[in-house]
Amino acid sequence: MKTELTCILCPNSCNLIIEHDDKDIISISGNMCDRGITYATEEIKNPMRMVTSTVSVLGSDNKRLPVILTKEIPKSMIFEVMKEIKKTKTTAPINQGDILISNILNTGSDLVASRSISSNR
Amino acid sequence: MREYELIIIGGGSAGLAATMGAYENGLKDILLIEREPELGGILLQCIHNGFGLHMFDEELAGPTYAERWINKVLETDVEIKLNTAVLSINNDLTLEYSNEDEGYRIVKAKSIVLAMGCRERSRGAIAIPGYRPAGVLTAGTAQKYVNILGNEIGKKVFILGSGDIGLIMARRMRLEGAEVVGVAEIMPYSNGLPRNVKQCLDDYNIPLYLSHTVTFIDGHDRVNSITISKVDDNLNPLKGTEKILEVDTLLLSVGLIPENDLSEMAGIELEMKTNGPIVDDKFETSIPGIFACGNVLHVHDLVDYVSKEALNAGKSAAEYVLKKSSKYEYITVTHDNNLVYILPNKIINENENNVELMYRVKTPMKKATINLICDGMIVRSIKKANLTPSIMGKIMVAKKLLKGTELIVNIKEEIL
Amino acid sequence: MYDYIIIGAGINGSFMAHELSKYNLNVMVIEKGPDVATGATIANSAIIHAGHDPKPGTLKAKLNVEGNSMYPKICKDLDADFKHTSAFVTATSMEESPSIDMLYKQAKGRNIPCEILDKGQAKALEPNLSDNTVKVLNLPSTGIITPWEVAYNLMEEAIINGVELSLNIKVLGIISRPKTCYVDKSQSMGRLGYEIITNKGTFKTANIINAAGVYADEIYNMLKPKESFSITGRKGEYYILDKLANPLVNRVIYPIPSSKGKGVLVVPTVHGNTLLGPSSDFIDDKGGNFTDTETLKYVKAQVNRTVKNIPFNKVIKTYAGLRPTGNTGDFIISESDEFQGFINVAAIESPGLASAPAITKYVLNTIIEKQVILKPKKQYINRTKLPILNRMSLEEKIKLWNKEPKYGNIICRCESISEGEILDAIRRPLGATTVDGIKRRVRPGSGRCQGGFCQPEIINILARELNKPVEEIALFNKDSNIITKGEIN
Repeated sequence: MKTELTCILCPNSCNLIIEHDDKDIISISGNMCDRGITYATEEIKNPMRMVTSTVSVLGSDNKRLPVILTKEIPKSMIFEVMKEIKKTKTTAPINQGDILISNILNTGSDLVASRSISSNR
Repeated sequence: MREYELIIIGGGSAGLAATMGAYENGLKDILLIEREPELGGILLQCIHNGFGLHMFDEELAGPTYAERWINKVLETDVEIKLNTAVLSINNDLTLEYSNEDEGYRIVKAKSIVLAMGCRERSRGAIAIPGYRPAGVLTAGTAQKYVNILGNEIGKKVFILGSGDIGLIMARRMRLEGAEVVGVAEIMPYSNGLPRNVKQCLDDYNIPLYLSHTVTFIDGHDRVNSITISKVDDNLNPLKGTEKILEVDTLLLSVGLIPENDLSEMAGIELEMKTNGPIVDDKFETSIPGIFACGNVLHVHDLVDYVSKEALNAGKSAAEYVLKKSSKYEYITVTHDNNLVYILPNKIINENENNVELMYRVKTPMKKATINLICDGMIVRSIKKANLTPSIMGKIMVAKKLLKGTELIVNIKEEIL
Repeated sequence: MYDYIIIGAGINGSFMAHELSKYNLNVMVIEKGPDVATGATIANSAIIHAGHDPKPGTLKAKLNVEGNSMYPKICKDLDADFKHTSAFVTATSMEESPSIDMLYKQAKGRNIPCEILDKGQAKALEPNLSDNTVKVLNLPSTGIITPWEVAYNLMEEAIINGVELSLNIKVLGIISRPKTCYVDKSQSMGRLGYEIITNKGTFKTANIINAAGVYADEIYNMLKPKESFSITGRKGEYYILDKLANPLVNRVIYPIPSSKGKGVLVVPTVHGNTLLGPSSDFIDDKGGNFTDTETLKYVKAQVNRTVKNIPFNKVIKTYAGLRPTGNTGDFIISESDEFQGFINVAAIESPGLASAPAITKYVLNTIIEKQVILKPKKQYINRTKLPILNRMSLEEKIKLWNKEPKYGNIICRCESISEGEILDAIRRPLGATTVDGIKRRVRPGSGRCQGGFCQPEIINILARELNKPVEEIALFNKDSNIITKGEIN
């Protein structure tokens, strides 16, 4: 089958055309450099994504704590990861970088606080 | 009346960096005024990552980037007033502010940096026809409800405007469980970064309707449907192309406007093309001692550039106060119709130093040449690729190349 | 059993309630909307016209001129804004010039202050008048108000003095009964009484004042009268411009009127904005107050004929209102011949706002004084004035802040409105319960950001004060909540 992708690695935004089947990539065209090949391969075989969200905070005037993963996770797991994040609550004070969920769903990525929040301002 | 060496209006990305720029260049008696309960500005609600690539070589979430700067500022001993609104600025550099703790006060400054940021263009400003129900919000306001307050603001959402804010909110709403029915963009190309189109729309199969706009909002109490229509080359809706979509929420990402009502009150000259103050390459406005930086000057895409610009503006304010500026001769900067704007509007004429020109093109150009012309001669020619209105361009120029009293910047597309 | 039930809490219902509150009468106002002023009262040009153009011999002509002279004192007593901006009627072609002379004669005949100006004189006063301006009629007695402010303050004072106000009540039917069915509490003699059936119960009253706007015919027709009238909605659409560093115009600018009405105007507002409009189109759906592209285009084209340099890039909002146009060409203000005690105050389209106080006076003098013996209350309580900080001196503001620190916490940056003022707007007798209710009482949401920055704060303050969860705070109508769920997981 054929998949068309816009490469996002640089402003050239090459239109990549990838011929592939369920398992392997047959050919890639439209790229102006090799990084495009790596990108296309990853996007077809194992696309990874960053997820950011917020969790509820108690004990502070701030109601929500923004959170971020330490590593990208497989695109197919985005909603599972969101489900885990939504089960999480936390209490102030929090420091930026504090781990809220370690190795979330065995992805090797932690969920950490994007900022510090102090207790009741 | 208390007089400060410098008052900075706005404690967001620009204000924080301007504080550091001034402090690190010798000013100590600084007052930073912020109307929200915390420093950080709009970054606090931009919980997605992508900030700091140029400044820190990292891709940080907005609040993380803000915290880096907030910590720097907190290490200085500048005076910070939170929950404080500036009500007016006068051309003698007095200003009135108010807050719950102190009431109404007038203070004076030797210099002021304007860092008030921008506001969103509203539904009313683009006159979308229809009823006026609840459920119509600008994307940034929706972002505040969802990310700061933790409110749900709708279940079935349509977004007008494919700029980055619209795209980011499409993903955000989807991740929070809403059905995102689509995004409409009046231009034939998306206004946002290709990466955001991919990771906010394509990833979630959210349709992007290019060359479309919203032509009716229905619903007496809450939105119950919207009509989108295709537009012609003149961006006018085409009769017969209407499509009614049942949604309960319409988010608008239709432009940002620098927030200069305080600047206008002070009598500062504004530029129609940016909606921000006219400035020289020290970021000084038409009132000596008042400087502007960040989104209040012109709307930026990268916060890293805001910080860089603001550091410079803060530095200029410090130089102004400590050295007391001398009389300058200026080179005025003008441009052709292919550019939306170019900043600064004038350049201090001197043989040393560089000036960084910042511009936006009107339409996307795959390949183009920018010419800098002084006294009828091209003093520099720069080849550029992949120019688009949604990405601010920058050119560093050595001032010694500039001659005469006028610099004309024009851009020619290379037809392939 | 009430002496009077007023159906409709618009500008006329409010003037009537206020007037009747001065007497020992049992009065109730029934309003189907969520607040006072929900129909034409919140969607008009806000002009107190001089009275120069209604047809001679009409109630419109008589009551407009009279109302215009009453407004300055009424607004002063109510602590509501009134500005004598003056008005120009402008002829922009030689063909239109005789109309100026005709209107001048008509105005003079009604003792309305007026004078004719030539192009030079007019443009000296209003530099942005079209270069095609040929002749101008100056009408210095023209004023502008904030219509809903007047309605709120009138109704509030009425409530303080015993009038009952019932909001969110829809009239479903009206039955007339001979007086003898009821225990006699009213002072009327041997007349019909009424039962008003609503979605919140049935109310009995000796008399009804029908001030129901576009629905006034439907209300009257509930009694199945042998002779009736009809009301059709006539829509007007407007643009609102942001406050400008230099005002576009200082006066109300009218074109030459036509059969469609006064025409599309350029109108300064009390707060420093500018209105452009209205259009004029009949519409079947009485709830159809939506704006549409074609009409907005028409408004733009029309205002460009009388005024130049209109900064359309400074538009902050558009809106539409429906005028209640009656089939007789005039106001319909009379007691029904068939149903004694049923007073129609209907078809109050332009110049309805300007005529409103005179309408109430007319109803009082010609109808009510013949129905009942009016006993003035011995003690009348005036409403409390509320502070507006952005109009005060620094010293005055500091004084207020000393009494209540929340007057120092600015919530609405565009209009410089403090939390203290917002709390006043909620806590006053006719307090705001909705986001638009706050907007119309104290301005947050009317400015250039259109609530983009302050709306979340406003909702939180309302929720706190009214002890309601945020998802129950409405924009305006009952099901117009902004937040669908207070707390996401």
